[in-house]
Amino acid sequence: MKLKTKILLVVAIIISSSLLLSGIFIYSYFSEILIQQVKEDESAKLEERAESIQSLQNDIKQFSQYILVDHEIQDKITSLYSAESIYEKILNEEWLSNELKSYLLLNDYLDSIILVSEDGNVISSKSIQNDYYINTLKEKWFNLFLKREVYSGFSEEHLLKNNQQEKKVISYIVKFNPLLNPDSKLKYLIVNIDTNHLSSILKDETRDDIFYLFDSQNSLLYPREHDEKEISSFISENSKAIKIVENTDEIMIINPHMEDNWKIVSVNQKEAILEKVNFVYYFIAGVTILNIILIMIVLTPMILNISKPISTLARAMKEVSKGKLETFVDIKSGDEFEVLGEGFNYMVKELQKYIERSIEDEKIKQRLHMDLLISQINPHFIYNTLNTVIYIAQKHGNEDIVKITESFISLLQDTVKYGEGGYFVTVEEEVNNVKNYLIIQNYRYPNRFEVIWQLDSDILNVNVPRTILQPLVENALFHGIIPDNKYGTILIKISSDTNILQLIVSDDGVGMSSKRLKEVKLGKTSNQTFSSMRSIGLSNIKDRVLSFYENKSEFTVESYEGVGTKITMKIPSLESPDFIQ
Amino acid sequence: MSTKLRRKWFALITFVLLISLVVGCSGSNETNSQSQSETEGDELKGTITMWGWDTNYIEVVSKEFNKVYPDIKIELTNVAAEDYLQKVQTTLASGGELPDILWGERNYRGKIFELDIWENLEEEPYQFDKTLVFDYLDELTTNPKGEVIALEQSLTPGALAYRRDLAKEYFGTDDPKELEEMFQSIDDFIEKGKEVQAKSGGEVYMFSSLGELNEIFTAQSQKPLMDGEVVDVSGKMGEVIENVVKVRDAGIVDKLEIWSPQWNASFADGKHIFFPAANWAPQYVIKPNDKDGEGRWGLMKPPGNAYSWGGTVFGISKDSKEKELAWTFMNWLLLTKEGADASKLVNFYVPLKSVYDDPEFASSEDPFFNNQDVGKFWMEEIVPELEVPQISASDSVVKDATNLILNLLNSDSDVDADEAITKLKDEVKAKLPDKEIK
Repeated sequence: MKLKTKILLVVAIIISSSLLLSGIFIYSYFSEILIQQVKEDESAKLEERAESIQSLQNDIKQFSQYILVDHEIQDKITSLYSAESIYEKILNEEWLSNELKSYLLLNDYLDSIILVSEDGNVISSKSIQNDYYINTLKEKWFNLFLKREVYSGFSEEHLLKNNQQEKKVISYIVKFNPLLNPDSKLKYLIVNIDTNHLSSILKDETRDDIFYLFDSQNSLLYPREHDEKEISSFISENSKAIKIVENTDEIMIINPHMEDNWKIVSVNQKEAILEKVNFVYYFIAGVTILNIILIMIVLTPMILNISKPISTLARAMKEVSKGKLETFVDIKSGDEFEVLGEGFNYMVKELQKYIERSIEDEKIKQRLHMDLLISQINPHFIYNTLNTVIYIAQKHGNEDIVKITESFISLLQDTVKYGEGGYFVTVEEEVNNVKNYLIIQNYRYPNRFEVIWQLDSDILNVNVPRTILQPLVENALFHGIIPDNKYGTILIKISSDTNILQLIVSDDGVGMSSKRLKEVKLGKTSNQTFSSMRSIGLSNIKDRVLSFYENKSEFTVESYEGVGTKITMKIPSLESPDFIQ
Repeated sequence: MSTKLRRKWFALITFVLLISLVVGCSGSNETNSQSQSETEGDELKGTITMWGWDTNYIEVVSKEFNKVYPDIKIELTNVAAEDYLQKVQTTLASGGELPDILWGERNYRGKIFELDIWENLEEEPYQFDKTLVFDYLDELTTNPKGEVIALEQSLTPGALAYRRDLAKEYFGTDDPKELEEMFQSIDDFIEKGKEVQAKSGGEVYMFSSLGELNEIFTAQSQKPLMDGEVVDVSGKMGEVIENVVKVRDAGIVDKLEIWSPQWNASFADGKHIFFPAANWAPQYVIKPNDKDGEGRWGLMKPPGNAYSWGGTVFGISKDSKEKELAWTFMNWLLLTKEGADASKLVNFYVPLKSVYDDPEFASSEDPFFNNQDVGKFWMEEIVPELEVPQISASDSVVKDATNLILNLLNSDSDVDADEAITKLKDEVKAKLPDKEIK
């Protein structure tokens, strides 16, 4: 997975999970509040309904009281029973019926008013129905009321026939108290209330809430068609306090603040309430998606900006690992990545330099090898020739020629050995070579120079690179002493000090100008040629010494015009000739 | 399924969907424009309140009305006809609000017409033209000042309904013509009634209540109650009471009280043969009281002249806030062909003369009446003969008093016609102390 994908994914996960968590928190928080709110609202609404029902009940109660305390009605009932003729009785009945009707017509929601006398006869607001009403008193609703043994109260809902129509009514029944009027023939007053009116009080067409109204016997009065079993188990007790019953699905509020133990109940489905909170779900989901999109829009370029240098670096490293050392990264982010890039570039450059130097070193080695090879070829032929020269010189008795030639041969033999013995020789051998060389030069430049040897005795077995001293001596002779017409001295000093071998070749010749000294130090060969022999030169020695010993060695040239030149070499004095391997 | 085939299917389904979308859209446009043109009464909106007793009638006609005027709601408060006057009086006395449309039942109409609570329908904005309706209705819709203040809901021709099964059993025929021939006078009823009594062992009566006879006889009496300023009880009611007593004494009438639950039950119990019936009776009384009586009933002309029984007028309350809506409803129901069609659904015949130009309009064969064409019977046999006496404010007093007397006659068989008339006059006098009673 790519870095930017990873970062984007992580960011998306963090945002969506944090939003989701806050969503869950908000949801649970709001649902609590909402349920609480619904409980309060519902309670208030129930109270309102309970009040309107109670005021209806009170109206009916008061209304009944008016009829009961109506003296004229009482008088007419009495005279009805003491009537002398049928006609008088009919007239009284008619009067009572009309009087009741007058009361009845004051209220739209009343169906009828019935006076029940002690002998079971009935005078009603609808005189033609009197016989019918007598029969209804044998029905269950009236018997249930009698069983309750109360002075007044509401009956359960029952049916009344009115012409061809059947009507559902609730009867308010009052027992007449004979204490007030012992002679009264009145026993009950019954007011029939049209239950449609109850419905109209309870019904709210603008809402789908349902209220349940129960009477004192916990029979359902409203709504008409419903299975009330479940609720009635909660309302069995007759307390006067508002009760809230909550189960997993529903919240039930029971308000008993009405006359005659009526109870009004509201049932709220929790699910329906919580549906209202569901918008939080959708809201959070929407916000999450929107946020992720927005953050992606904002973050993607940022993340690309951050990850681009990384991938550039990664790509460059891949290239480098394939060997392309010229790889270069260009990061200008102004932050740590730029530092990283610069570091990378520096390291690659250094690596390149190192490798180039290694190659250069290898080239030098090869060149030296070549040099030595070339110097090996000629001596054999020269050697044989020289032996012939020695033979002839002995024959003619010229000892000097013999001596020169023998020295020369020694010198050459040593050079031939070079191929077999490797790069190194002991100090002693190197000194002998120089001595042979000097014998020859003494014949050429007699009485022109003197060589002073200062050799520590313990250094003779120390290994040094082959032909390390001779070129220096040759230099001192040809560039220092010979150009001067004076007699010169060459001092060769080899000493040892704590594993460091110090070789010094100094002369008191012409010396070098400071300009020339600079040139020499930079490795430039002189234009002047004093020998047809290939000059090995200072720089060659210097290169070799540094090549063999690297920084463990030192090569210094000191020279003053007219005073002389001093060359000092310091190399590790090690016994083994193979240490360099 | 190959990819190619699938692509074809996809293309086809897309095409079908597009087509149905286009068709669906244009289709819904059509219905929109149609419903717009249908609802011309769109601007009229509101609720008309009324008090009344005939809930079934209002249910049926307002359903039809709402097809044209969907936004006018009709709200009926149930008030019995006999309580109506009292209800209006109580409301006026207690400062209550009257409904937008007031009803007036025939018996109590005189008194309620006296109250200054009605709009004059001949004036602006109603401009009712009374020549549109039957002439005899003038008497029934005019207040004492001579203003037309109400429209008659329906013509109310009265006749006799009879049980075909019992007629066949006791008279040998259930044909209305033959029965009309057989019963030409009250005496014919008395004679046949006695035979029926004897045959059934006292079980079967010709009529179920004295109240019924009183309704017929009173309606047939064309004598006005008011003789100038005098309330002529003897003139109007004397003969009626005499006839009632005569029939009672013959023992052919049961002792039920008219409109009582027992009387309602008598339609189905097979012990009473004749019932007075006006055009509203089948719908309002006979059918609901004899639910299984299909084919069991017949209609015939009563002896004596044709009579008009009952009837209800609609008027607009002076205090109404919805006069325009109220008139819209009354005008549509009672003065248009559409309203006439709606009324016919309950066998009511609006008094608008023009609808009867089509002789077939009245025609209505009723399976309940053994497919007798009851529409033609009412409109062709009864309505042309109809006459009505002048109504007065005292009518309802006399009506109530008569009910008392009938009650007495029912309860006390010793009371004769003379005593009954004297008691009636005393009762009316007690209720109308300022009036001279004859």
